[in-house]
Amino acid sequence: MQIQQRVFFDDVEPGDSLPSREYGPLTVADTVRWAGLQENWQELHYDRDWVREHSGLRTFIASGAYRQALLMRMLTDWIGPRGMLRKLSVRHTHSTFEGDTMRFGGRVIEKSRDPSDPWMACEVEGKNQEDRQILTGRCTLVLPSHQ
Amino acid sequence: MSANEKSVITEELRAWIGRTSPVQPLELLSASDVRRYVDATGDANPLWLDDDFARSLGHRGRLLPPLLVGWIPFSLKEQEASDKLASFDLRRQLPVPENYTNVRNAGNETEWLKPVCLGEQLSSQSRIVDVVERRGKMGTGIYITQEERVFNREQDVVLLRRHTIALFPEHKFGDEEKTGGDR
Repeated sequence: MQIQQRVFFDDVEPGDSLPSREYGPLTVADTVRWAGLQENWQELHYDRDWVREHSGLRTFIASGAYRQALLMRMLTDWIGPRGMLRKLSVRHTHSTFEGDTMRFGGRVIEKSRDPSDPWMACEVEGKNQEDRQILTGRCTLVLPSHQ
Repeated sequence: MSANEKSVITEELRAWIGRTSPVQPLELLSASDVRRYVDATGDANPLWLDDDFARSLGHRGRLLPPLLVGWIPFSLKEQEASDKLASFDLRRQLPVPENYTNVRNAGNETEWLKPVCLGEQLSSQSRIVDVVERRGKMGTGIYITQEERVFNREQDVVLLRRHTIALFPEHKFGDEEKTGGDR
């Protein structure tokens, strides 16, 4: 397989946007697949009737770890096979309900001045189809240099 | 909190701050686990699926997706442990009030220090670093922060994570209140 490295440390500057990525709408198949992987049998994540009766929500919601996995997919796809996700902090601010979409994006806020340690810090954010924030966070990414 | 209000953080609960689990081997993840991760997320990155591709980049073989480094399934986290410190999730062992059944993901920070290949035996150690109470619209929450260190066979730390959960008294959520939902 050909190595496709599309982004390099030298080409990225503070203020640049990370390419955004949209997932969903969230279905029961999505949440059940995740529940199976995580062995997390909380009805909150897949059982509409249980959630309405016991939690007072309109329907089930995505697990926080699932949303984080999608955010990480966006980041690792962007940095390419020679990049490395070094650090990620995430704070969940609003639920993703059945039928909601999740759009993740970000912005470079700082860049290493030392080319031998080519990291950059980014703000990341997730929003739903109503443009409401669902999570916020920061990450540190390491990118290869052209040299 | 006024001087007359009783804290929900008892001395017994506070005594957990600083307690550390022994270093425990983690279950070895298989190619099938990674395939299920890829199915669930659509993250078909060749780094996690193709040994030759990963080797062409200098790795020993395919890598674990970062989220699966230090992965502990809920079934193991929820296992009753006779020695509470030997539990895979110390937070679940803490003596919180019985009605504190609503668990919320209050945020996490993870640092990956080295790539990990599929099939590498990892081990982990956890420590309770903080237990605090905060008052909000859902009542008084108990915020428990756990730090985890994941080691490879050479005993290098490959991952550091701080994860905070918030526990609240039993309560029906409104749509505006519930956030991550994950523990």
